[in-house]
Amino acid sequence: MTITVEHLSLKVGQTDLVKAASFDLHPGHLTVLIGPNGAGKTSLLRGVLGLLSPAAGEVRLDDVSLHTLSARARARRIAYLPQGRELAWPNRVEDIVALGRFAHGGALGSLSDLDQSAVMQALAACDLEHLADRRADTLSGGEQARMHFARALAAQTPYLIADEPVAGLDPRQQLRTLDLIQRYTQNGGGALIVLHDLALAAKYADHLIWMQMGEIVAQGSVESTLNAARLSEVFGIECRVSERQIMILGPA
Amino acid sequence: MRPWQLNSVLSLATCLAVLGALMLGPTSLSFGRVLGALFGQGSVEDAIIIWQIRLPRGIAALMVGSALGASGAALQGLLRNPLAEPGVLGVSASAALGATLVLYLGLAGLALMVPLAAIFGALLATALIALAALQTRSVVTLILIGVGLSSFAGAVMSLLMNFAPHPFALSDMVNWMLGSVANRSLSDLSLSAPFILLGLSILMITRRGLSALTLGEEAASGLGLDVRRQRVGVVFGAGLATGGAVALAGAIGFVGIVAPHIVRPWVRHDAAQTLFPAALLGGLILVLADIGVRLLPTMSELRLGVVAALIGAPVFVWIAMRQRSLTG
Repeated sequence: MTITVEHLSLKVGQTDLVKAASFDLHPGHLTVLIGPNGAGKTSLLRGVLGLLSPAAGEVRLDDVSLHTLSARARARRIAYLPQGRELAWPNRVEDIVALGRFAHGGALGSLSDLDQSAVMQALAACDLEHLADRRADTLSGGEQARMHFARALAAQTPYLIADEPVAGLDPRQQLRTLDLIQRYTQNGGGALIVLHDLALAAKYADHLIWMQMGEIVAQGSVESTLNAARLSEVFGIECRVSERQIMILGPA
Repeated sequence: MRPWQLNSVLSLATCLAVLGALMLGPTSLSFGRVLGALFGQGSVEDAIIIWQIRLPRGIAALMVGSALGASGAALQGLLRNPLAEPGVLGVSASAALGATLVLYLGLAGLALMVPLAAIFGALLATALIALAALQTRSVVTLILIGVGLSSFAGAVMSLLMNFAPHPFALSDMVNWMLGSVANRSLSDLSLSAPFILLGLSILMITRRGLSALTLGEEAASGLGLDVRRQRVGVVFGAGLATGGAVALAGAIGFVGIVAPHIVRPWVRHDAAQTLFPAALLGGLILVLADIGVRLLPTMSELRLGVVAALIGAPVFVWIAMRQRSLTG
């Protein structure tokens, strides 16, 4: 299954959030969306998910328009990790992960065997088994990030969309979380994630999408799109780039 | 204890409490006499006591408590805040204002006017709160809006009392404000019951989405929840149930905050599974409180709403003080 985004434009009132964005997502690919603050990255993610209705263009899953799918049908195909990681109640880790089964009809307290095994697998994959009974609000930042990823994993969707999944984590936990996402794509999932850390983006991306002022200004492999001139133009920083290594020298 | 065990225990306790409400009173009746009166075997006096006084009163307390307990649990799930509750958010006061207005205008004689006015007031207030919840993420702001709404409704009620056409209207209105299930007849019950039951059904049907809202609205929509529909469901369900409850018993506060708070740890803090036991416990609390009100040897009978507030308000403060995220 391929996700095709075609000339997607998003607006709030008269303000353009995203202008005619086109790209594809493929199984097994980790696509990283980068761009400065306010470039429209989050809006684009929400547009791809159908949480923002398009002003023009469309998103297709193979031949089906995403906008014709119900919220639940869409959630069974694409898991979404938003930037905010709210937790309203002191639920157990296991129960938060089980919320990933929501679109499959799994309700807490009455999970089917299938739901239960998906939850156990997700906990194991994210190394959370020993924390399953812990109150989620007592976890460290890195553990919480893994818990949220685990609930996305428990949904067993072919695609994952994550908005800054490593924000606020220390370097080791950033790598650990991105390793989990990479393993997800190596197992055949397709992922679209926003990263602010350019070094991490260069290290993990199979495909880079560069965004500036609501427009996609470049996309392609890391090797073909990452260079000092583009970093200066898009981010306004002066860098030295060799292959996938970036050394930031200062503002351009 | 698992959730279904909790529900069984609460159901059993509620049945026993209602039985107690039938047996206890100025004339205490034995279990046998209660059964006899219920099934038309006992004396005429017993039948009158049971059918015209204690049974309507007990069922009214049960329905009102369940409506408030479930509405509280649902509003807390929707707004993701343990302090949300029909009383705190001004929903009860607005419903009471609706009922008071009907009393003031002397329209109470028309059968459905009081419940309809109360429900209209409740729906209006719930919708306003839900709308405000869209605009602000701040819990404090939301509670303050509720406090403002409550005060405003209270002020208008005071105004109406100020201009009460005659002392009877005044005492009617005061009764509404204090909250009581005394002197309710089975026909009073039958006016409000459909609204309460409809409200409770809507809340029960839509409760699953409350679990997803644990992660916030953005993540919940990502999980496949239609957040808008969920909001409408809770607003209508809580509005109907609270409005029906206020129409039946006047404004009774804090049940909707205490009941969900007590049951939440037993259902592992799942907002959806909180609903049913919170309804049961809300009913149980009010049935027991009403028995207490009847048995206490006070000069004139204590009002149920007064007792509920005397117990509930300190609990509210206690929960608020334990809330770490209140500044959020």
